[in-house]
Amino acid sequence: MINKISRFLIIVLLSSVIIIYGKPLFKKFFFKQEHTPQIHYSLMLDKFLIADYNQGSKKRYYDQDKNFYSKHDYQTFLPMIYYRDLLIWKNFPGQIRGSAISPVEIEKNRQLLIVKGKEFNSPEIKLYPLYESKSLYSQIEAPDKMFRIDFSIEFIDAKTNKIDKEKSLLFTKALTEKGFKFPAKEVFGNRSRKKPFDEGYFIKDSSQKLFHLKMQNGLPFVKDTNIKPDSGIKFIKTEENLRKEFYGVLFTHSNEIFLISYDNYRLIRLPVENFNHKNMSFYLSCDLLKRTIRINNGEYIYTTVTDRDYNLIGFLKVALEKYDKTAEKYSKIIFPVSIETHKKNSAYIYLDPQYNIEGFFSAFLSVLFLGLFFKFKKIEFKKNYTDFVIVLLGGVPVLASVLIVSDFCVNNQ
Amino acid sequence: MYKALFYKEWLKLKWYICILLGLTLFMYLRLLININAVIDVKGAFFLWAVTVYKGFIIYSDIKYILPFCGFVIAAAQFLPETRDKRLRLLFHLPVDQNKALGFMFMTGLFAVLTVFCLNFFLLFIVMSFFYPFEVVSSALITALPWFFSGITAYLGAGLVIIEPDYRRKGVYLAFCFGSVMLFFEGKGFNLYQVSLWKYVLLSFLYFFAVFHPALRFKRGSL
Repeated sequence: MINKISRFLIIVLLSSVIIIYGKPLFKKFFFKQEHTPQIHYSLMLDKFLIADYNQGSKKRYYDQDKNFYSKHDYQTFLPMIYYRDLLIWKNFPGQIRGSAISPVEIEKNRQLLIVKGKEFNSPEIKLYPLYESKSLYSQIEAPDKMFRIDFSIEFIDAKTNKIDKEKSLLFTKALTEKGFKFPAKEVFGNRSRKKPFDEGYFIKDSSQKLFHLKMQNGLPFVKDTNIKPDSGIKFIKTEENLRKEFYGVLFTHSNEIFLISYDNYRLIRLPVENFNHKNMSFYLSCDLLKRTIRINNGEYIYTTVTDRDYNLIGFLKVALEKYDKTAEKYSKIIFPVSIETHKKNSAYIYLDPQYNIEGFFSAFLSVLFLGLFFKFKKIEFKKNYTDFVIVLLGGVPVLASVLIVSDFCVNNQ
Repeated sequence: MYKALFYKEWLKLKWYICILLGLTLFMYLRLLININAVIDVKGAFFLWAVTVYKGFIIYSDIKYILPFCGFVIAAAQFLPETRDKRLRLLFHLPVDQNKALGFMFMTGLFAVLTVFCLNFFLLFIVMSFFYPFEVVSSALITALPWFFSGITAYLGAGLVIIEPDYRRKGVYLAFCFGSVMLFFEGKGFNLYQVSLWKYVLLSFLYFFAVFHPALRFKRGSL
């Protein structure tokens, strides 16, 4: 009996390894580079302009009505992006839609904020550096402590690995005085030191209220932002930018997207629909005259353009060229069972088996092949019926494992 | 009889276990020196910053200690047994052959788990010197799959060594190597947090897989 179980386990383990490594290799066989189209809105044409590779061939430039342009014309219609080239060509427009523009102003008003799908589902070590927000220096100085926050805020000295009780008490008291209810639930902020200035952190307390915490001249600055969306806060990405229009972007559990403005933390709703943080990435580009919001779910790119006040100007949905689809289709046929170790919008490692009904036909053929093999080798069917069952479930990889392990039950065993 | 079997395994393994424990101590001493050097050159806050939000894993040198130990212990235990087909003697002892084989593997697993525990303990100690609890716990969660790969490496190597047919040996070697490498996917910390139990289950399934090649060894069938 133990021998049968042991043989069965070898087949299962071998098949699992073949599936885990074999499926991605099989997909690579069909691999072709996928080019994500560049989609921009031209205020000069009042149209979306698209640059793509037309199924891998030469790059082409066209608008939403399929009027094709040269690269030169394409760039001319997008002065907010290609203003440097336009200056060289002495083709830079002095104004667009009656608004005067200059390269200096364009440069000053640019901001890009990207939230990758993985950021919603990544491991995090819950320690945070608190920088001086009113620094006298042009570069942010590294502090000597990091803080943790749960039932109180604790500053830990990096050199001694000990808690600075005085500072911890000062900040805990400041938070409590402003109505912060411990334990803290989540902390959102930009922990990098590579930024023009520091805006500290947004911290969600136990009553789901959002507080703003930073350090000014070594002292705590705490403010209740009064931000409390109905469906709750899923994620906030902050990014300090000299434009000082918004602190960052806030995603709710019901997939609404807001910007947290510098105007007393007023929420600006972005006119975006169909966003789903589980499988999408988010991109916001600000320029002198408009805002472009791009959402990519791997199947489509949804591009929304608004004016500076976030009123809708245009919307375009473009399907992505997916060579991967062919590979996926064939791999599902060959591998009735797939085991996912990586997921597109997650940084974690998984071991999730999935059954693909598309693979049933190949599994059936595998069973037939095994039957013929048994007949040819004169191996008894009855004593090896479990092999047929697992090949029917697992298809080609299990058939390969069964044949590798072989050692079938014969009459005298 | 089991006492005698244990003594036989102990005779085979004792020096290897000592060397592997020594190697483990050396690796953690090296880690300790490395961390100290980074603090001296760049400062303690820098070390924290790169660990906490840059995903730098300063203890990544210990990654392959356990699979190496697993492989060495399996080789020390089973290579002498397969020479001149000595393992067959085990199957003629007055004990159940599966139980005897299981006992042999349990002894080896015990040795691997000893190195495992020492690694876990030393990582905890070294990291606790320099880092707060959050980083220490993250280091332990990050390193657990590496440590569990040692069990897969041990059982996998045992399976490969015992298998009498060289063609199958080759295939099993590739598949055991693939299984061990499953524990080293991705770059970053806490990546196996959501699925570690499945990988642990996978590594222990190998324990039952070793009986089939042992029976083939007994039969001498290719």
